[in-house]
Amino acid sequence: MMREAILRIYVAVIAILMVLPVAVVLATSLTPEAFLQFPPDGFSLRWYQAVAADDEWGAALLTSLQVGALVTSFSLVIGVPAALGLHASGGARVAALQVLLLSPLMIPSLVVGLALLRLYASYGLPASLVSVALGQTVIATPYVVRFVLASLVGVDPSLERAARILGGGRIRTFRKITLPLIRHGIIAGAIFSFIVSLDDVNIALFLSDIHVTPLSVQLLNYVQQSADPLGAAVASLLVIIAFILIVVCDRIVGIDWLFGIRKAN
Amino acid sequence: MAAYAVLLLWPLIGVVRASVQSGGQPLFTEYARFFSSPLFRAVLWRTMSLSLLATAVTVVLSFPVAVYLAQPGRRGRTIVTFAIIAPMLVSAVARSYGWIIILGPEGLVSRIGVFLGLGDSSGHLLYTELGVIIALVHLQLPLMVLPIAGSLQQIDPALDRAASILGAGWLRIFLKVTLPLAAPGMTAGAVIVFCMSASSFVTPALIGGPTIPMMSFVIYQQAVQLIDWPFASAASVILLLATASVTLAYLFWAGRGARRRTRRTA
Repeated sequence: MMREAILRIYVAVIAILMVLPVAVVLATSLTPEAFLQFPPDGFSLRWYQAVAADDEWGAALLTSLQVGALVTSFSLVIGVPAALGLHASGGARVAALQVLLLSPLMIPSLVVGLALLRLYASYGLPASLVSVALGQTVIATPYVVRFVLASLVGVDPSLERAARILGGGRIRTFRKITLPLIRHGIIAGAIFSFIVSLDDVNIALFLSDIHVTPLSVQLLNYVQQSADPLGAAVASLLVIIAFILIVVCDRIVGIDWLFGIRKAN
Repeated sequence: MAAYAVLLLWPLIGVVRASVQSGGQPLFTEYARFFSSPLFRAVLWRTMSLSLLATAVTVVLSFPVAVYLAQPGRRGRTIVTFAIIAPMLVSAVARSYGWIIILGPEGLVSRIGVFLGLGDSSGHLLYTELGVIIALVHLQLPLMVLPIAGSLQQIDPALDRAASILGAGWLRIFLKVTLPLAAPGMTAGAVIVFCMSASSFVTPALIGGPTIPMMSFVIYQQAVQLIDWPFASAASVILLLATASVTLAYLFWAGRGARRRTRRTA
């Protein structure tokens, strides 16, 4: 019983510590003071007003949302067929391709950023929404592949064959059979791609310039130079956007499913 | 698929080529420059040792949480899962910023220190190696909890009961049954956490600052601030080799383990 109590308290402490930094950022963004202080004295939205009043932050937020939408569509276009192909074929080739698709998790994304910067520069490509998005697609696609593959686990392959035999065309079979089956994987993959893009600094840092700066990069630059609650307000915006997406994802697919922790039964 | 390979591999090959030779210099000039400088050797050493320490701390801290999550039917399991996973999806800049506020001169840690009489308000953990480790552990903890919990869930609960009936105490059960069976998840988690720590940029840059640079900071500095691409490329390849060798060693080890298990059951 003693051990049980200790375990519970320990897990509670760790859970609180995990959430603490995020909570601190949210709380600090509401301070009326001009310096970083926790716990804050008082309550005010002045730092959010300061962010809203500044065109640069607005532009950065817009850039982030646009790049995020591009990354989501690119990684779905590449990732969904890749996952379906991997699932359909078997053997050693699949293993090799799987390593390739999961390799961005092992290759430091900073290195990917540097590599793409050199590549773009050698062709004289300027920074643009598309060039940043292509870079982030490299790290976002593996999530789409993984989630779509996970949604295919346990699916009877004879379903598709049956549909074809019953006269369903290629497109009809895909739309009526395959798509509903992998719906969860696609939704989760899409949401994750967007979050990856929103949070990414390592790649965007290299590929962005003063005209194309996503919110996270702008925030990093700001935080390195000035320590006032304005940074906390922007960071809170990032937290809030991510939180909304996580809740949406949890409602539709369930956060347990995403991370392979089985639901209590 | 091919498009993806091109998008990923082609630029990387360019980096390797540039790092080996550029501007008519002899081969491997940039690598010689890196390793002949005590400063850069120290950066590499710091990156490896801090990542290793962060990984060790993460394993120890994660294990009980994974045990908790792996047991079905626990009250509050959903909340704990959420608390562990949700921060993973929050921008690293935002999370590091939280740690800046907590660890900084006006922050919680410093105030508690003053309150306990451990030091004056000038004492804080910002720009220290300890601060970087704390922030890294926080960043990577979910990546360790999930694979360990995955391993633990596959353990047949009858094993525990059998060991207990045969007279083993909980410590003995833990050491002889739970730990060996959780090892695959633990090593997988450790490899991921080590690689992610060694290559993380935002957290060391914000918490450690320029005073205790890590490899990622050097790569960024050389590429963006000093525009020395050959040197930045060489530093990238060194970091890449370091993380890739750990991963490959793991894959080799895991593959051998799997073959051994199939032989045993055959």
